[in-house]
Amino acid sequence: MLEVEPQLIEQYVRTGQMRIIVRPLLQTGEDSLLAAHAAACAGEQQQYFTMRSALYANQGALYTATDMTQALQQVAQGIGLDTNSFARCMQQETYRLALISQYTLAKEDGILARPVFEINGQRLIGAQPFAQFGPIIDALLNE
Amino acid sequence: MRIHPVLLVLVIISLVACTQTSDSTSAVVEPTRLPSATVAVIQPTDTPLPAQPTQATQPTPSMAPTLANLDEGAGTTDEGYAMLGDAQAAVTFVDYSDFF
Repeated sequence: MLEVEPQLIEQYVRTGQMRIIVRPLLQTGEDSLLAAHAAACAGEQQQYFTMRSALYANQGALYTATDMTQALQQVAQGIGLDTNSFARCMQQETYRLALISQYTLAKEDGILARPVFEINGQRLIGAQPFAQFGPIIDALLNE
Repeated sequence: MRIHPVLLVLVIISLVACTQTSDSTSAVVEPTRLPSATVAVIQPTDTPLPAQPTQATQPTPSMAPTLANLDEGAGTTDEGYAMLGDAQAAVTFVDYSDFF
């Protein structure tokens, strides 16, 4: 998705034709929850998608980190966030319950694999190339 | 009154000749000209064509939001998900994914 999302943003989001909603899954437990929470805290500084990209870019290092909270703090610093505000958000677990609730709803809605995409309700399971998304989106825009 | 036989022959020959000429004239089919000249005749006029009104279907580059601006509208919602783009957009793309 790291390669595809920028194309989607350029072609459809910047032109006002599409919005992207990210609903994090928490399938690897506490680590998933911490990473999703870090992105949410970055969102308080309007840097959700920047943080999201940074998390994916550092996925390997984060996965093997012995101190996840510290590792996430370093990622936040790396993208220029206000680290004090970020640390406070992480410590207060501001979005923890909301993220768990979202994940529960996703599972109840049949989201059992990852990634899953829904385009105006049309569900696609598994990673897809831009060439797969484009025609679907174009067809919806032409309706 | 007696007609001279030679004169009679000449009259008959003349009549036959006239009949044949008339028939041949009517038998000729003139090839019809394709109206290609009509196409070629169109000349550009000095009067410029009226400008076609352009229909803005997309924001111009100067109006297009920057990624930073997009991100300003992409803060995390209280419900725990993030949104990027115009809330009124025709297409909603939902991404369910895990960071690991």
